[in-house]
Amino acid sequence: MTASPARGPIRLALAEDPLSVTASAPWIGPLVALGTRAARFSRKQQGRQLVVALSVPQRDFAATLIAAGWVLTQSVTELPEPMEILRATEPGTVLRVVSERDVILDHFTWLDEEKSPPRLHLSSSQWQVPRIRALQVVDGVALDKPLRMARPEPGAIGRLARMTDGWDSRLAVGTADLAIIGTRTWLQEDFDAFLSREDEMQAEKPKELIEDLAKAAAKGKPYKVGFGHGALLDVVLPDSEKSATWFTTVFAAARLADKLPLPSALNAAILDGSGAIKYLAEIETPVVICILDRSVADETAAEMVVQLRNTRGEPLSLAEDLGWRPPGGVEALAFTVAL
Amino acid sequence: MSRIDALNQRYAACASLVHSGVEIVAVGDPAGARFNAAVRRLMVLFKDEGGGYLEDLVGAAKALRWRQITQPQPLDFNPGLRQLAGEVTKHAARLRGAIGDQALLDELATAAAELAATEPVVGTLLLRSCEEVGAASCVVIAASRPAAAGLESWLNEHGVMVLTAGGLERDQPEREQAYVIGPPRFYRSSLVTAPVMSGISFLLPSWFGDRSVPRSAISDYAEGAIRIEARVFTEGDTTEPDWELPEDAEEENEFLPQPVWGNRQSGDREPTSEEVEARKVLLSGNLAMWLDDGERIRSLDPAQPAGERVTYTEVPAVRAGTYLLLRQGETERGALHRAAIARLARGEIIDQAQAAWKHLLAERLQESGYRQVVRQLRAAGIRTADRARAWTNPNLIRPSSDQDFERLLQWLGINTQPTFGYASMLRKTLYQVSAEIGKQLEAAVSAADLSELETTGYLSLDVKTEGFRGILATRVLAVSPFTEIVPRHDARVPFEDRSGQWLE
Repeated sequence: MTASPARGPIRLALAEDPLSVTASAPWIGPLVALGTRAARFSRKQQGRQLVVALSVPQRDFAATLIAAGWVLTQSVTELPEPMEILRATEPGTVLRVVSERDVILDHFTWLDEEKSPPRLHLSSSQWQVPRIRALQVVDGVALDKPLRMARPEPGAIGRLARMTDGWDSRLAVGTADLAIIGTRTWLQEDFDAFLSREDEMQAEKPKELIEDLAKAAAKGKPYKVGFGHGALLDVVLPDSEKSATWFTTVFAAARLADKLPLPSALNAAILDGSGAIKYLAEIETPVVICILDRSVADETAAEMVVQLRNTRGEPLSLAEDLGWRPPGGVEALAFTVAL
Repeated sequence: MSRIDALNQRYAACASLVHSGVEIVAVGDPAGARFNAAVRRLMVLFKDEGGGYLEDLVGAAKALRWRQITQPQPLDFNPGLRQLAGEVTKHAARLRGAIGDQALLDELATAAAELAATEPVVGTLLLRSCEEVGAASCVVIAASRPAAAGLESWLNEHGVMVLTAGGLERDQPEREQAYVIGPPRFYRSSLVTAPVMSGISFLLPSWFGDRSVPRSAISDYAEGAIRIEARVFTEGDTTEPDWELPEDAEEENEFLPQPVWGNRQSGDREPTSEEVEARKVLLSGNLAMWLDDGERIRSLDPAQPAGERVTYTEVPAVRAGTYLLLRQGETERGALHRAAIARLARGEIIDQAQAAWKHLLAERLQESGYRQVVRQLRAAGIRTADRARAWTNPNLIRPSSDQDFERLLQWLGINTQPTFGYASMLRKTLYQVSAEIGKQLEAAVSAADLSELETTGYLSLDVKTEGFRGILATRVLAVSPFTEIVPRHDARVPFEDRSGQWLE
């Protein structure tokens, strides 16, 4: 992510409609940048939990933008060639396959090297190996039936962050180290927005988007954002029942009490709103980002954060330690606590 | 305007308000100043002497002063003002001979009568301002629903919109200017820290000294802190009476209608194992409840979308405005506990193991006292030691931290296993049962008319399951500042109580 306070931020725009051109706003880019800065800081800092709390005039999109920034910073694993992996794979192993149009999670049955080009056989589909963009063996997943989803497209933000190289490897590996806790309904609405750069040309739209727009128009139905459209949904990539790969796990705050403690593989949790922040003391991920919604009258969550900072926190300077300044309308603080 | 355009505008309005600040117009109000001076003298007397006999007069006087600030509409539209002035006069008359300072009583009565006969100055200025800006460009914000209703009865004729701060947040009308009735500190901080429009003016009588603008809770420590300045303008006749008033600034609580809590009755003793420390919580619908610091309590957030409204609130976070979900008759946690034990194969044994360590803990608390025990537990490395008393509660299964629980058992001299395992299994089962009940509650909440909940403050929910006699959703009006010792089985069971009547 190339936004930096020294150079002046790249102005980003949000739109609910993939075809509209929207005006940029100065608060959007810095929120994405916060996600990337927190990720970079956490890699340098071990042993203590980083807590960032920011307050915004209204919660909309804040968690999603920060999540996008976090995801963008994740390192890409260099994967071996698909043939190499397949030759060493036992039948029955669960594989994640990224093709041009799909991501599939399914059991490996056999590799047919007699055919030219070689064919990969999964329990419910088969693939020409040269056309597979990336694949990975997936451990520890109990799969009843195969899962298939449209291949997510990083879209404008992906191009901006130069994520397009290695994107397929990311999808194949599916490192899900981020959790977002909040109001699930509202988060899902936020994921459906499209992020773009101001004055961006109408660059190549993902095929999936064009087809789905056409289908909706033909049936006279409203267009509904899905995977593969290049929305924030594709970058943040939350888990769902039908997901073959994901980067983020979304928890409904109202149900969280019965799901704690969180899985230990998580590296970051974004707590969106007071319903989530009230569990701050029980979240032990290395990074926690709390989003306070100033439009909500109840300030209990903010008081909790301040209390944690004052009793157990070592304050940090956002400007110096994270290299980040809040945009107008946003105030923020950061500190570390012993885990 | 699209949702995102509105959002961009909101960020811009906030940045703009940080830059230019809010306006405060302090309007000279000699009649109000006179009454205020008398009330302040009365408050000094009340603080010095206490005495239940003064409560009615104090209550009426504060209510009249509050009304005068928050409902400045012309007298013809404000019958409540005359009525309250009458109450003040009546209670002042009743106290004749009971207190030494008869002059104060006379002054209160006279000043109240003068208030009831003088057209409110703030109202005149308000109407003029609205007409200058144009009714379509402005909105008037009132401090409460009754205040909004009062102002609306007058301003509707002039085509001016009136909303509460909550209504403004909900409706977000496209207006440029807001006229807010009363001082900034009578309002939630979000009115200025998350403004919907960049033109905000507060109108208040000039004798109200506190013009501070609330800040967001993290602003003291935050970078880019949202600190809104105020530009103060004065208008009209600002003379104030010449009484010697006490130096100390009046707290906001002095103005707000408040329940009278009295003093702690339970003395200094420790609760027995059949008792708990609890705070009295006043609830909408003329109810009250003793809330003990045990485990979290089931609550409801009507602002959330369907399916995500039923949640839990930690006891210290329960405050005015929280909506609680209470069962009539048996408490939910009793039912949950029974259901969880019933589900487990070795339920009885687990129940006994729990009772054993809790009983031991309660004994130690009785012997050494709470503070001593907390100190010892901290020395043993237990982080959440201050919950020691709460852990004796059979419904709070175990300390949430594994480490704290292990160390607690060690300190009690109990083998970690099987007690630790039993408690964890019970907790897990309890959570499952709780999640199931949560779903049923969500269904009941979805079927209910929540707008009624917001206006009246309480609502009965229809839960179609055996064993549920009735669930009541009710808003917390106030929480007592001190605790009392009450029988354990009385905790969290609602009972009738009218102390909250001034508050609704």
